[in-house]
Amino acid sequence: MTVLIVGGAYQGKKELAKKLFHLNDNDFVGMENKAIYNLHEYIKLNNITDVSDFANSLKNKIIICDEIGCGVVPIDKKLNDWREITGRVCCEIASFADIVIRVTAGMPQVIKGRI
Amino acid sequence: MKIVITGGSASGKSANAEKIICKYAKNNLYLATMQPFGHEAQKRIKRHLELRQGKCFDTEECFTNLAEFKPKKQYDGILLECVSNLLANEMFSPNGIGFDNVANHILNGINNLEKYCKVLVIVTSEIFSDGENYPYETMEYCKLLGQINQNLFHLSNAAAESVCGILLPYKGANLL
Repeated sequence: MTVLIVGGAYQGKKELAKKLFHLNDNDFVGMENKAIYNLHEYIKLNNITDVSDFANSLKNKIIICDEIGCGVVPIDKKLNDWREITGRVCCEIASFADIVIRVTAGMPQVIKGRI
Repeated sequence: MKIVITGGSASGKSANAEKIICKYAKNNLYLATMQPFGHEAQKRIKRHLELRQGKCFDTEECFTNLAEFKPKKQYDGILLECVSNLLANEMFSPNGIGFDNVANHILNGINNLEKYCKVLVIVTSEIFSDGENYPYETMEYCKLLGQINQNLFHLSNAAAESVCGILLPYKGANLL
């Protein structure tokens, strides 16, 4: 099962994921575990050459990513690319995810599938 | 009928807007507002062209003064993409109207478009949630886009936000 959890920073996404999917902190370590925390940070530090391939490599995981595209478009090209790729990766994951949840102030809004 | 789609960068706004307009109309105009300056703009324009390929859209461009725009013919649907570019063009480009009365200028332009189609789908942007402080011109731009979006949502038959490609309706969900 693939789950995508998005929302602004500091909204309680990880706590919610732990509660809903019975995870502990160790489950979020690295990229090979069953859960991934702060996908946007990983994207910032790594060169994503193919959005589809990268998204597909995250199948069957619980993925947490900040929504970072709702601000003024940055002048800096690198920052702009980061926002763009993060958004595209999330669209791609959401297209095959069983469940997509948007979290605001700790409150989950299930926007795809059911929990 | 007027439908507004908003969303952050790379949130799937365009793909959703195209899907909606194709549901209602076969004879469509894609009205582009992005000025093709620089490599980034070219890249975006190319991506959008590819998205629309084979989907029965004519394409025209309007960078400023939408109120005077007259398409080459009458359409079933017009997709305006997007209000945030249009506002930047009006405020910051040499051909734009400047800062005064620009919100009304754009809203008049959108009213004008409605004369030429049955379904108008408008794409706008969420740029309001980074908590940053920018120079006066940028803050003014944000404020005006916020005002325009409020007006558009109020006057629309349906409005939704695209999040990771998923549409979250604010009103008129049955029309989306």
